[in-house]
Amino acid sequence: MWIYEKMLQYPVKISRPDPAAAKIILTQLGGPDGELAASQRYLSQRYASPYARVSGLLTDIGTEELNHVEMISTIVRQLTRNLTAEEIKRSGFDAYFVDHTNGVYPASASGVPFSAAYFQSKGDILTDLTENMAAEQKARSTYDNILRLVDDPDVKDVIRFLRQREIVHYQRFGESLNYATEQMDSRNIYAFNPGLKKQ
Amino acid sequence: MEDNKTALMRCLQELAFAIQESALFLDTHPTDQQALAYHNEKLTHYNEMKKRYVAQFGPLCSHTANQNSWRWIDNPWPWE
Repeated sequence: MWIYEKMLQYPVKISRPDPAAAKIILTQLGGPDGELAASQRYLSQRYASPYARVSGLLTDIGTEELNHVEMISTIVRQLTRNLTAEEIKRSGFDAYFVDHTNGVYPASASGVPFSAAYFQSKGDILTDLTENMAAEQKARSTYDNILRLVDDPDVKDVIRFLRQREIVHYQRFGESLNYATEQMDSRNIYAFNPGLKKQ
Repeated sequence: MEDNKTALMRCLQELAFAIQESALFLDTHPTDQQALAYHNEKLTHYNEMKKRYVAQFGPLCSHTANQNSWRWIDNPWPWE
């Protein structure tokens, strides 16, 4: 069960609107390597995990990703406040604006709406943890790309925090993959899916 | 005396649901003193029961002080 706490995981205080930046940062909300996909990936996978500690990690990281969904949404909101029609047109934010006005909607930078096809829940702990490690690196690359495209230090500071979390999550998933492998048949780790049946 | 785990959990679920209902009601009736008193009463009871549950059966949340070992990841998870 979840209970909401009225705070951000890390402070977001952006004073300068920048709809062009909002348009690209939005991809970390509803894009293929975004925080919404991350949260649903881990919170879906945790049920089939055969190891309690991995279920715990998937629950905790999945929950942290919900914090990141909120932080990205806050960045997008703060970057798109008080805009004139001229600023909206000039920045290329018009395509988003016509469909969503200033509402926060999970879509990629190119405007593709969020899809559960961005993640997998395979019911195989080796497959799921390997997907998660790749997903954390893909999100890290996306944050690196955002840092290349954005100038405002207030925005960059938050993006750097989120980028760092991807690296920590990658580390923890790697440790979990090692742990899972140690629990399996060392001669053939693929012999049994421990989530399906006991060896 | 040790409580029955399932019965104590059921009590927590009932209280948490009551708190959820009063919170929704207060969102649209923020000046209703009767609802506020109900919310506070259920919350006080919930916190007492939760303390009792956690002391005997382990943490319900990863942001809980664990005594000597990290019991958060122990089985069972709620879907088991």
